[in-house]
Amino acid sequence: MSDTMHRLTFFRPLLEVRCINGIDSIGNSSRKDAACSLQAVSLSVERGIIVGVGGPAGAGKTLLLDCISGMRSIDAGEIWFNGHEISHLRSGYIARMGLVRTFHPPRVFRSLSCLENMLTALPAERRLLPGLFAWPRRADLARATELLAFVGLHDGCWQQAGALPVHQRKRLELAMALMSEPKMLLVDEPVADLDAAGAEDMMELLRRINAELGTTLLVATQDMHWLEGVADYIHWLEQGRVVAAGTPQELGVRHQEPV
Amino acid sequence: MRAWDMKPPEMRASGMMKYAHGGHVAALLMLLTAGLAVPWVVPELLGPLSRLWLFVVLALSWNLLGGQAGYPSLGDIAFPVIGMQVAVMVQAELHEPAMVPGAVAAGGSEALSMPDMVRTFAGLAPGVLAGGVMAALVAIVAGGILLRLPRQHFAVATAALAVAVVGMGAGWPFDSGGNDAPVLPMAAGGPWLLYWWSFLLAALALVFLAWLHASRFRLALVAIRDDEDKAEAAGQFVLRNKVAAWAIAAFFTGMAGAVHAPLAGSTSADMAAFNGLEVGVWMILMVLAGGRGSFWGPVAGAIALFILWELMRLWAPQLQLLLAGVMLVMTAAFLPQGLAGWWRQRFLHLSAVAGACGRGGVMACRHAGVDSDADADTDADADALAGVDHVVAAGSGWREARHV
Amino acid sequence: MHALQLLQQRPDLVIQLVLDGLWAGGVLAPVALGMWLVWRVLRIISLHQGEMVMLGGFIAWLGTQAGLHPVLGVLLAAMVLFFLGRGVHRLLLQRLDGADVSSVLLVSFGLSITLQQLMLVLFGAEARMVDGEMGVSLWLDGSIVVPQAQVLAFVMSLGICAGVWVLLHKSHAGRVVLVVVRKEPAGDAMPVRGQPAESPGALVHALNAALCGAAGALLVMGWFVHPYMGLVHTLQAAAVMMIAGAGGLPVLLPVALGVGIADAFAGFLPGGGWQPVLPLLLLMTALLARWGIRRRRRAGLRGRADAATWMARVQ
Repeated sequence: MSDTMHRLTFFRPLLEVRCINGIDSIGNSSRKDAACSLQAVSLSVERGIIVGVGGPAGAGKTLLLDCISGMRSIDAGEIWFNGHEISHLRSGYIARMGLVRTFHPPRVFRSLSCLENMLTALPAERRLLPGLFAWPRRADLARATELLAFVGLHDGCWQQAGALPVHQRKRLELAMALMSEPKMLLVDEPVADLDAAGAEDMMELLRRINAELGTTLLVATQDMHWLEGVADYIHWLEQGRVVAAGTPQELGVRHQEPV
Repeated sequence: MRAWDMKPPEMRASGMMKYAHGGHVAALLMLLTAGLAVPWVVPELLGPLSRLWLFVVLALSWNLLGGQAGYPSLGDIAFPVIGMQVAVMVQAELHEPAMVPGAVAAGGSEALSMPDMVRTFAGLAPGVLAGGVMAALVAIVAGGILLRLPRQHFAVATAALAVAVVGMGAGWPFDSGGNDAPVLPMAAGGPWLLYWWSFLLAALALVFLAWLHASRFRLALVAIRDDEDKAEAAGQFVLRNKVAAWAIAAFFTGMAGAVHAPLAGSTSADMAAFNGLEVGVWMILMVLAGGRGSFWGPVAGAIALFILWELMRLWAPQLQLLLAGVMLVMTAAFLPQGLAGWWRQRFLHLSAVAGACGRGGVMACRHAGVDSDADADTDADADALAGVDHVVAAGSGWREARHV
Repeated sequence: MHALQLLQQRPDLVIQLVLDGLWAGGVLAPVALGMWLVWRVLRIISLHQGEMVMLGGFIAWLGTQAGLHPVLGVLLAAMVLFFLGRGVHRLLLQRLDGADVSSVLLVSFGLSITLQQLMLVLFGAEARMVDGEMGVSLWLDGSIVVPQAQVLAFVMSLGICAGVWVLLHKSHAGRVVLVVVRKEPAGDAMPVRGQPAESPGALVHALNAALCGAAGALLVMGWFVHPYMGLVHTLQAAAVMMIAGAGGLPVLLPVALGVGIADAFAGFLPGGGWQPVLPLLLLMTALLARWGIRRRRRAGLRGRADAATWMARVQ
């Protein structure tokens, strides 16, 4: 495919992962250690939908997110985001292009308050140096509090992020990611450590992020049942390979077929 | 509709005073007033007081990268050495015809006429500025390489940098090897002149770093300390922020070294640069004892430990560095948040997590117009925040929690 | 350039410098090995490494003053330092469970200052040496001087390194340590995990201290010790460790010898002004070399990636 075609981003999926092999952090090739690596994983994510990545523990979901977000380098294949190849970019560049991820367990800046955490995550153009020396604007604070309320942290603005319980830290991390106005969000294990009601709330929240803010989502979780409720399209990973892909209905039907 | 497409609340006067936290501004003003008044009260202490101001500058600067960003540099002493050498070089270049051999600071407070005073003051300025700028340039170049290292490797590498600079400094053209400097005409102003220089420098550093402490730059640095990978993954310019912090620190430390050269009356790298490694150690200890990451911690640490330092110089000069070493071990191991952390836990009942942050939350309170100390301000500002009601609500909730 | 011309005209001088450097590097090797172990297992860079070397040297010197043979002095220094290292771990480093990296680092830095100043107060600033009553070999008509004490120290040093390395691979405790060494490196921002007393942490600290003590005793056999020597040794050991990377002793040893030789030449070049700069240059070189390797590896991967994608498409 020519470069010109690649740049016609409108007609192409927002994120394309083409046949990547992940490598572990020590730098060995993945083939030696098949249990926690990716082998020829491909997927594509259209604009404005919620895509799920499911699979049992150790299937390589988090590794896939690491590879996409540039925190680990890939062994083979290529990754395209919004018309640019991001296979070998560092994670900072990728985030500034509008592909932001969350972590499991959630990672926030623990000695800052929630609001200060939000202020560190202003959009990329607000992070340039002379502007960084300025004091926060009222508009930024307003947006930060609004987003905190949006994810359900109504009265936690002043608490130390490190002192929050896990489920609230998850929400804070989502709010921080949204603060930087991403095109797409990679969400890692949004419902781990949550009870049933919390999982329901999280499903609602992710749907609202997708619908009201127009953010494309890639959600990785172990919980297949929950994923069927939230995702428009699901890739099922096992041992580093995509073993099934389809809409929840297709997958559900297939699951119900007698073996 | 996107959540943030709503009109932000009406922005009123956004000047510095509007956001400034009353207590901190008052403390800053009090400190600076004291600095203005002190030379008339105790003129015999001018020399030590000038050194005290320089130590305040050193501690505050080290705190920027070492405290807030969590990248402890063991070699910041290189910057005063560089600043000193460059300053003397520039001054000798500019004032060669007017050079007075033997006019050294140690000569007491001989009266100078006003024009002389102005001339010497102006003569020192380009040198001091050049020293600071050169130190900052070195920090930018060295930081571009060294700050990519993990923080422990960085600490070792900066120690190597200091060894290199101090070691090479001995061979530089304007190194006097501990003797009276041959080229220090600007020192003729005596202790008064040097006191004003030190004070001016400290005032500049205090105001600028206080500003920076309230800005988003501090948040970026604390983010680096808390979780650097996350900061990078969230798209922050991590390396650039670290380099900027180090360059700012080097600028002020370099200027401090440039002012100190005439104060000591000598330009030897290992002697006048605050006795080489010695001040490098005390500088770190001041920040550590005062409280890493906070603003007033390093200032308080600098003042307290400077008194101790001067007393030790009088009574047991050979033991002072031993004391510094022991205190360094004890503070780092048993009181890692320093006096500021202890203060916060003892009197403000903030948790250890809060202690780790510098005054976490207070800044955001201030920016939202919610003054955590003065309730009257809260009411006055509440109407400005009609659009963000829950800020105020949460702010008061936080305040109550604090007074439990 | 005078010194360079001198080196050109007098090749025997080059040989002399290389031999001096080899000796210095050989004595540096155990220090670097200890530092490497502490770094790999505990993720701490020990900044008081050079001071422990100095301490070992002083202990050996005291031992010989009391009539001990220098070789036994090595044993004595290693044993004393072994328990000292264990004590430091018990009293200080173990308490720093979950503390941030800079606290641990600053404790180590404070220890180095404390030890240095303590020895300065106790013994004064002059250099101490041991007269082992061993002869001097003269080669090439006396233009190359090789003290036999240095040869002995060099051989013993290499022996100690090899012994520790073999012990690590053969003994049970050593294997426990190596398992931790081979584990995936923790992120730098993660808090340092304090180790309980029975875990590899205590053992590694004690072993490191013993290695340093032995190195100091060997140093005092062929050269001298004084209280201010610590920092340079720490920096040199750190440079060796960073250049060697994950390789372990087989990589550490040649690098240490190389650093020793480089140091000997740097001391000889114009004015001796290059010697203090050397550790910095070495560290920078290590860093740049790492970058180069990474970039090359990445480029290689990209080439293979294309082939793999093509294969996948064909299938």
